[in-house]
Amino acid sequence: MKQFQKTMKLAFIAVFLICMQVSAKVYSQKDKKISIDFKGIKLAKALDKIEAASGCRFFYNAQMVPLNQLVSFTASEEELGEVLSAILAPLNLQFSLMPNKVIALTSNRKSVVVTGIVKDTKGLPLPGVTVKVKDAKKEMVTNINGRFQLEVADNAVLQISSIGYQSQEINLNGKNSLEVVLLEDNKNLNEVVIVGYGTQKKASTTAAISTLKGDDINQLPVASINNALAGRVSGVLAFQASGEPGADVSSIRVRGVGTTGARNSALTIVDGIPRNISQLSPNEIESITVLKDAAAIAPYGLAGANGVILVTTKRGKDGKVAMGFDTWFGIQRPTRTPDYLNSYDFARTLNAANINAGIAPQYSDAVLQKYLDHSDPDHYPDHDWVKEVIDFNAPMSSQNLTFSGGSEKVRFFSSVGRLYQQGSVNTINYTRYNLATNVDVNATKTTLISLDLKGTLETTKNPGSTSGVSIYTSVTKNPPLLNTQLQFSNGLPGNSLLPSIYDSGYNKKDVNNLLTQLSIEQKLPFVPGLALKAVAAYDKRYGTNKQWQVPTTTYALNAADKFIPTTGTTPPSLSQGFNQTINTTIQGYITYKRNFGKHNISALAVAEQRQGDSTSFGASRINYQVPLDELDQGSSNKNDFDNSGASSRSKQIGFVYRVSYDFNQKYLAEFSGRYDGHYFFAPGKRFAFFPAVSLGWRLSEESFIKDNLRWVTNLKLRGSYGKSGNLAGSAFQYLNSYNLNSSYVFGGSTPTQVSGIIERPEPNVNITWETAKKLDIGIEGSLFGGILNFEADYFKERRSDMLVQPTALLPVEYGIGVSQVNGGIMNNQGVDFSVNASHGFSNGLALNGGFNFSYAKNVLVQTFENASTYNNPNRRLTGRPLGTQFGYQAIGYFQSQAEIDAAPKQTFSALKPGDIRYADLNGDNKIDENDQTVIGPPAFPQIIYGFTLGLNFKGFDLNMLWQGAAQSSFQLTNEASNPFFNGAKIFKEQLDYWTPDNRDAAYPIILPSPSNNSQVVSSFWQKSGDYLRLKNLELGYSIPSAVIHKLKINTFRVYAASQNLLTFSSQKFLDPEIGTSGASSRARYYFQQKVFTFGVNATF
Amino acid sequence: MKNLTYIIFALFLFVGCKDSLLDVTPSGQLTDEIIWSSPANVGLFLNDIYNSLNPGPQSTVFTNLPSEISNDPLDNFSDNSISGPLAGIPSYVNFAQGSYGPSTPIFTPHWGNMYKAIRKCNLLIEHVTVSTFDDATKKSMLSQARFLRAYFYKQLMDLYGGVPIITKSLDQATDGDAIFSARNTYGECVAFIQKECDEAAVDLPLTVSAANAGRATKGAAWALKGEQELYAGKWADAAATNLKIMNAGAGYDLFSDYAGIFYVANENNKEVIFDIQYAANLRPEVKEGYWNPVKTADGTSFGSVNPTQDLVDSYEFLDGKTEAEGSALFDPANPYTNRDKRFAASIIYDGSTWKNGIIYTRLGVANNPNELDEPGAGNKGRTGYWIRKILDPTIVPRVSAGANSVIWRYGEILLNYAEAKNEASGPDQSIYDAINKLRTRGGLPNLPTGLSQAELRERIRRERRVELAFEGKRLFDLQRWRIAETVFSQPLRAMKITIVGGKPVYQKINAGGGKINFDKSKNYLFPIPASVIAQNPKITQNPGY
Repeated sequence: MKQFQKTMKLAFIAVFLICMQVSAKVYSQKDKKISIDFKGIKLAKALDKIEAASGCRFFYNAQMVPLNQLVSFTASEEELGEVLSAILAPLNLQFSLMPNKVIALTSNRKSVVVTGIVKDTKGLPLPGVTVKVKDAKKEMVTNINGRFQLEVADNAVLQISSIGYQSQEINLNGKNSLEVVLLEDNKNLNEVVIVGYGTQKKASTTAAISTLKGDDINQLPVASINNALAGRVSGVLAFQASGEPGADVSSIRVRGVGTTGARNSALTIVDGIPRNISQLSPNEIESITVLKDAAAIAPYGLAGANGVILVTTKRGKDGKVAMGFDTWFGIQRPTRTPDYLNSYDFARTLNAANINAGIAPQYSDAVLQKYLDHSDPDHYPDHDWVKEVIDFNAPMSSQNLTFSGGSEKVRFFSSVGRLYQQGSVNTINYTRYNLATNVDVNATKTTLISLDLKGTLETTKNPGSTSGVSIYTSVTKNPPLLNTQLQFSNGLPGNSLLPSIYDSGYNKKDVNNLLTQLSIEQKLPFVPGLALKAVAAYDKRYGTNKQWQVPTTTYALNAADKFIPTTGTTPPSLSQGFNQTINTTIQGYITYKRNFGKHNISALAVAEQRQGDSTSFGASRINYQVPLDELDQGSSNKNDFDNSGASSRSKQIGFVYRVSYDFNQKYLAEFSGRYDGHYFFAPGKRFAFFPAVSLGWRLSEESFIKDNLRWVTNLKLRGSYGKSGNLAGSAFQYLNSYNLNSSYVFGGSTPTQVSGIIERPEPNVNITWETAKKLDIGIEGSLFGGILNFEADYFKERRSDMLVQPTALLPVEYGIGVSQVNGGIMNNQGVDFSVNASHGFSNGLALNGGFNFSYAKNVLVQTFENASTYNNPNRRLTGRPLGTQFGYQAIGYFQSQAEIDAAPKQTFSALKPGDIRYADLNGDNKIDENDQTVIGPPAFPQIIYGFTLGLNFKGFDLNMLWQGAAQSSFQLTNEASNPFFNGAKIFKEQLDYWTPDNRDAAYPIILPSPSNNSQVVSSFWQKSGDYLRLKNLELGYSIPSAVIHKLKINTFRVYAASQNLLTFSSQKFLDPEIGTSGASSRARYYFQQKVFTFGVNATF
Repeated sequence: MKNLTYIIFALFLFVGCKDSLLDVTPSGQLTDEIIWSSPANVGLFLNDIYNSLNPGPQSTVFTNLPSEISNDPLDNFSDNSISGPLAGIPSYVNFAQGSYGPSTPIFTPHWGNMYKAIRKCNLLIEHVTVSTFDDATKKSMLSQARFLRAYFYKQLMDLYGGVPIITKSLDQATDGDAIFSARNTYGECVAFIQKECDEAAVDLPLTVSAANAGRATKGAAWALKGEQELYAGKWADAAATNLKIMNAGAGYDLFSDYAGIFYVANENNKEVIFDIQYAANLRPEVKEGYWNPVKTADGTSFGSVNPTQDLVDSYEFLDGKTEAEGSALFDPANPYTNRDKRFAASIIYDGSTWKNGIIYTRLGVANNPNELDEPGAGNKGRTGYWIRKILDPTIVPRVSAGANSVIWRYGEILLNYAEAKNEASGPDQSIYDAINKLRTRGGLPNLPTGLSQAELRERIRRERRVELAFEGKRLFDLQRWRIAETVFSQPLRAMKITIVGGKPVYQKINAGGGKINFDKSKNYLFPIPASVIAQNPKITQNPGY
């Protein structure tokens, strides 16, 4: 066939064919007999064969004829007309015989104009998506609003594809309006990932990294992105120990806890500069990359050993200006609260406890009756403090607006947003404003200039004289019948709690963050592939706080039953403070990237210098005579003034290199590292070198897989080994020095405070950083053209030179602290893996799901511990995970006095039947600290996992994340363990206490004040911190574009979502992420919250 | 774009690897040379040693921490008072139940805290001794530091008996294994304190200026020595040392107002020999919020000091006899009148006025959080009494306060002398004079004359219990007299007052929670913290722990 036949314009063909049909009167060819024989060949080929056999030539519109359709036919000397009819009829084709041995093919199908829009799973339009007609040359790309228009056959099949997304085929079947949802393809081979100081193609990366798209988290009802990572990416372990606004940021540990030091969290980088990520707006985030192994973190030198989290923010793209609007509103309430006893049950239970203790019951029947019938609430109160104080519908909301667009020369992105989170009472709240703008300018063909500006303003408000934690302390402790009751029947407060929440002034903290950055990238045309880049970043954080405390009034009944007010006698006071940190970073890059045939080389060198300067000062006055909350309105007595101030500086210098080589994208190698210096240490000890090497082998490029296992799209083996560092301890531990403080007072009735000088800990001139040696072996693959992707890593790390306090080696009489020494060694190993699958069905249903799993377990190899624990294998810290919890081993209850008498001597307090019995592990017939043993794993979980599931159908989308943790435990103490601890109230579960009739109880014998014996740290109170949560559930609906298009709205989606909707754990009355502080193990912590939201996204 | 190229290459060159580029001078830190070359700076170092003084007997010596459980006064660890309505406080949980041991957390910090302070003294003494300061400056600093060091050692000896005597600042680099010391005997420690106090007293001033109130004097060094000798049963030494104070000519005498000794307005009055200084807002103390009755006219407190009926019964009536001795002035319907004046100055009882309000502990008054709580488990009082002594009524509970803690006052010196002299050489007139001086201030008649040594001993002991109530001496008295086992074998008592026919009826009952377990085989000394022994194997534990 001639080429021109296929390329003729449709209009011409149409006119031509109509003419031909009308004048088709010649039948001379129709009866010609031909012989053909073909099987399963394409129609185009078949027509060629028929042309050859008949001497005719076919003429047709390639758009309308399915040339790739496979056909089979066998004919022996049959008439051409019959042969053609038999072949073409099933394909809905007709033929007409023309003069000059031309046979025209026409379709029974009509051509239609199809319009459509392509969106992602969040309902946002996707510009630049390729829409191609299958088996035809015709294609186009979607515009900035994700729309396209094509004229095709009504039975055409459209192929829709875009980089980063899975391709889809859609059979038109007569439809002329389409809404296509493309599924993201995280593991697309062409995907470019952000790595340290640059980018790489995912396919040729030899390091262990995890990535997350910003769009996956930007509608979650969480204030901080730290709280969105758990369960979404492998290798990240997270623990959120509080629900307090502004203080609820999860601690994130990449591959677990690798050090005994306090600096155990990952380095966070925003757009290439070390910065805090928790205050970023999720709407600004393009992607998050977690660098896990030595190869990935080597460029970060002494700051990288705990892993690195890279956040890249959104930038403008070519095209018309697009605008997006997102908003959601939600309510929060505690995930779990204990079910506390009311006054009547509390009093009855205390009476029972008194009888157990051998003392008279506290409450008479008449009093009990009063508590039961609530007839005299002012004298016999009954308050559910938690329900009456805590707001179970605390609002939370977010609004965000983005604009982006640009041309080839200039592109911009801007975003402005606000987030508001109320606390458990409305005088506690957190508000954040985010503003971001960036501009990219192609100044010349080889020069790219980028300017980024980001600002955040965070305001945290608290009452003047109380805090979230102390409110929770009160409401979880105060018994329902407390005499100084929450409020009397006439509304007057009997207790200072409500006045302290609502009338005690305020404590307001504002934090402003300004992140600015200018970068210039210049390609050097005289050396192909060589480019230079300079980056300067200036980040300024300044915070102010102002605390105004005013006395509050409470009321009490006097003997004549009159309400007598008591007003606090401390006059109002004000304290104000200011703190500022300025970080400047200068980076110079040299990059080189070139292919020599099958040899691909890229290289990078960076010099970086950082300096930080912090300043703070504060001032306060007390004894305000007038309630005007300004410093200059306070007392003029100089004794009522106070002030403070300090400043500090930090410095760091580093040189980064990375050289990557691959042969034909098959054999990969990379060398990277950093020579790093830091001011923490003594001269001569300040610089160190942290190199890493990694190798990769793409098996899928080998012919034995390429040819035999076509379903293997990608398969890569990789491994890395390297050294990295971790800055630990604090600055200047190498110096022997003294500090000045406010010290003693002399002078009796007219005192004068004098200054004092205190000795700092004994110095260690050899102090240096921690060293981590890390090994990683990983496999990653993509099957069935990207439908199924997986990645799995095994890692092992040895952290040495960890700073440990050698106090255990010195007598207590030594009398002074000593600086830390680099003496600890810890091993940390584990696995992390993720599997993702996604598929779009031809009926429009799109499904995706994933599972990720992270496990990290550390072991202390060498630490300083004293002989009494080291010599006891049950108590030895060495060889166990950091934070392993030790205590006595509870072995049930003493069921009788005889059992107590016969048992090893247990002398925490006098024993009664029903007291907890502990095991005599060393068999010395007495229970003492030598009988302690391991009672639970550390509080920080060793396993974090998550399942995601998303589905999209006819405008509806459903997404969920189930997230769980395992290998974690915590000890309950005080109120959380023992009923009536320090007069505190008790909860329903604690009613299941030991009695002779309930010997199998959950709690020991109840006493009006718990015995020392039941307060001993033991396995009895050690609870599993394992949990599984429906962390996130979201259901959305996108209104069909046909409906909203007229309103000039491009997309409009409404959704409902919830955070922490369901929690499964063995702890029924406390959230399993209880934390490890003293307050939280008493259940006096700020409860975690569950959130329900409703939101709208729209693009214009 | 050549410029950019230059800039980036320059950056690589500029960012050399020189250490000096990373030089940062720490702000707010001082070096050795600056401290020890200047008398003024050494003076600042000395100030901080004073700051390490233990919060004093009004607070527990065991924790030194201003936390929820501290400020349970030392007398709550005796038969003078029991802890208040709060459970979980040290005296009740850790002492009364008799279950304390080497790992009991509240007893752990004391050892380390004292040795931290001792190191400061040692360091100062070493540097000042070799300094080129003028002689007067050297003597002043050295004598103060040696007194303070002896004070810290006595705080250890009171609880543990003999402890390691360390008189140099330890340095692991040069001292090696010598940093591990064994315990000295109690006798060696007593001798050490005697010598240090004697030598310090030589250079300490007899009196200090008003602005220096709170600094050590000769009187302080002798008081420390005299009390240590008394505790050690070195009777002749104790009598001589305390007599030295009485004859010192420093102006010490009894302050006329017994209650007022402790008031902020009267701080460092003529009776005070050594105290620990506090000042509101500057170096505040918090005992008023703990010790006041649960509800007072100006606020609420924890009510953590509940005097026992046993202490109340030790107060004589104005005829010089106690209720048990059949005082004619005792009226069962009105038991609190006609008492030793020190009774009303020390104890808040039913119907007494405190802070412009009447405190009732009787049952039957509506809405009264100060009433007796018989089972001893609720939020009210445990004995029917509250402490008054040491509390300044002008201080509002839970408002920053700065009442000094008196460690030694002249009244105690008189008692120390009387007891030591009686033990050393039997009754004589000087003993009667000393005791009668105190009794006169209390409004009591003189002691009957002609008492035997044993009879006088009992009267001195009763006088001491009453005069020094709540000043943190009672526990050590019970221990050194070896009577704790007998005293603690009896339940502590409370007063239950009910109104019958409009008249109060007084009934002595066992106090709820008022039983102290005491094991004479070990509890005369406290256990040395487990961590101390774990980190220094040379330290031996006290018997029985």
